[in-house]
Amino acid sequence: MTAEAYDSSQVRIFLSDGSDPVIATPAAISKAHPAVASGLAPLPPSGLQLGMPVYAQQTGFPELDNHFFLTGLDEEDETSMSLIGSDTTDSEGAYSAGAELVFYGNYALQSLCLSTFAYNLETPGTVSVGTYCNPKASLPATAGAPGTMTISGYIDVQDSAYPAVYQAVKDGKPRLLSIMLGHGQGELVQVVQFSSMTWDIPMGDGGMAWTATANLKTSPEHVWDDTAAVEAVQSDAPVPAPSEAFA
Amino acid sequence: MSSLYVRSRVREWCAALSLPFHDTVNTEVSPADPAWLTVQFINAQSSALDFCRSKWERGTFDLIVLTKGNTSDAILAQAEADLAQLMTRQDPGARLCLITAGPFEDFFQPASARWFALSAAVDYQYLHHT
Repeated sequence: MTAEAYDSSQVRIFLSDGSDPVIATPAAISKAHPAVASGLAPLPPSGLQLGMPVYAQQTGFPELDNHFFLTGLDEEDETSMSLIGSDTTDSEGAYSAGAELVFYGNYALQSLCLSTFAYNLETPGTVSVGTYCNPKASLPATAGAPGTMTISGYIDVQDSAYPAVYQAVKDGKPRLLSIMLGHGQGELVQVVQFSSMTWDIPMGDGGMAWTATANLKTSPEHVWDDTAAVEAVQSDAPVPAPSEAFA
Repeated sequence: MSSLYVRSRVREWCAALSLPFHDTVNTEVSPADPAWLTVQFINAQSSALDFCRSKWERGTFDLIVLTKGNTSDAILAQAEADLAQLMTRQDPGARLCLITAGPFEDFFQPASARWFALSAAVDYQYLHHT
């Protein structure tokens, strides 16, 4: 299949409301493509919703730990979900009783009308371990924070998006930021913690703009449904539904 | 070509100035007024403002004052006063903003019309959602 380029006309960006994440514990996780987590408790207030990003940790599966996946529903069991984008079929790991699936308030997403977003990822440095025999020897340094992210938009206090980001800067709570690419291309997901905001007030040309900087609390990940045809995962209305300001 | 919203709003604003306004876009007029004004939309470009289909249109129109001549600088004074008045206009929805206006240039139309004209370029921006 020939690779194709897609335009950004369907890009939608969502930010969670900063409420404490719900950490669900599964009773089991299967070895499958995609992996299925069953017996989840507690569930997010909204219940499980199709496409909700979920962060896996301490599952016992290296393929899952510290990665984002999308929620796939089990129509017969509301406490069971598939981790879309995962594959544990040939995993050497095994389910751990301390497994956690973290839902970052993504049942209360705020749509953001951004003009730009950009990543500034940290690149691990090296630590010199030189000796007289090998003075130039070095080892990779332990990876630090993933980096930062900047997002920009236009000031509009009547819209719900700008106040949401400003609140995120003020309270500094971790939030899920999801960038849905559209065209069935999945989404870029990360947890961010906003640290600052600046404003640009042009004299004449252009609109009054803002730029917010956030520390990445998780590495940005691109997740998509690798088991479905492109058409099957296309959606005009992202899940959850966008805010009124976006309409 | 400028958006209909821009054209409509500018016409509306011009109609409230001291010199009589006559629309000449796609309209043939023969005003009896000794001096009058009109606008000519010169150029416009539009670009995406954000990922939510907001648009930024930026363009220029000419505010043109025409007279039969022999009016000394009085017509320029009147034209400048009207231009200054126009630049104070505020769009209620804050979507259209007149940014800057250049000084008037004058030129004479030696053809059949034989109007003496003063023209000032006005830059605008129009932020809107599609």
